[in-house]
Amino acid sequence: MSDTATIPLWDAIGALIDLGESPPVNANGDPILEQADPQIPGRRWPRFHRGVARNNSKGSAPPPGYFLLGMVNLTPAGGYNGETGEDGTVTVHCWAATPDDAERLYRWLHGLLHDQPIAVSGFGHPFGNLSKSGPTPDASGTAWQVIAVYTVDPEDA
Amino acid sequence: MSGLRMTVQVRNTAGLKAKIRARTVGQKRRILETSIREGEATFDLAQALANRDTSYMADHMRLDFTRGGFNWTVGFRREDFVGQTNSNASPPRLITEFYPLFVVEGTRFQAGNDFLRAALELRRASILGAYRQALRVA
Repeated sequence: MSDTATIPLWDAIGALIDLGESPPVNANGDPILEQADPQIPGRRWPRFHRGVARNNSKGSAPPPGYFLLGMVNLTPAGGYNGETGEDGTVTVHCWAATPDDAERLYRWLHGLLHDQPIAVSGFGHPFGNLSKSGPTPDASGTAWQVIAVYTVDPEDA
Repeated sequence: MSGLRMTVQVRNTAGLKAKIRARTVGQKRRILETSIREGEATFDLAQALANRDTSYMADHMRLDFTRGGFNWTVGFRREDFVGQTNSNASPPRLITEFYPLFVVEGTRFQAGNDFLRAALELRRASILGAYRQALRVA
């Protein structure tokens, strides 16, 4: 695997996910994202992870119900830098225990990000568009993801 | 509304047909050349953007031409992976999964890196421009 790097766009999307109100709930009305960490009383799993999602104590993945921020599509010039005319794409993997919950995570994310201004430090407020693929199961069939593709419109950056 | 009748008269239809045929042949040749050029360039970029651990995956990326060379695809085939031995690994190991899917789409642990889509997106303008140029009437 290639190394990933934190870039302003990741930070901006992560901040929005962190602050997003009315977090998504499943068909029973239970929260999909807000899960307690059984190993550390009082601690909750974060809503999103950057590039890699691991339970450090055991090396396993957290329980499904999180966003995993993906790679930026690199340009020959070295990747998204938020400057006018530069486009950039970030994938946000919506992992949940069922296909329906993964769809609900995506819909919540869509309301948060699609066609909304996003503050990328030092580069103004570009708008982004969200599209999706999935849901698809993981190799074990115990978790499902919808892949959200967030594309910054170079005309808006 | 009153009707309007238009009559187009062509004196030498054989000449017109030959002209159209010649133009079509020229366009087909140019599109075929463009297809090969753009397919190869997109393949090279996708390979450059692909994740590399042992390089087995990148080395087994394929560029396939279909419809007599007019269409092309860049990607992977299951049979190049499942049941094969990755001799780039140390020690060599048997491949049991079609793992490019996990690399591109990601797993619960690791976000995906869709280098195939990235290569296409990065070259989209160039590809469209090249085909537009190939279709242009001289």
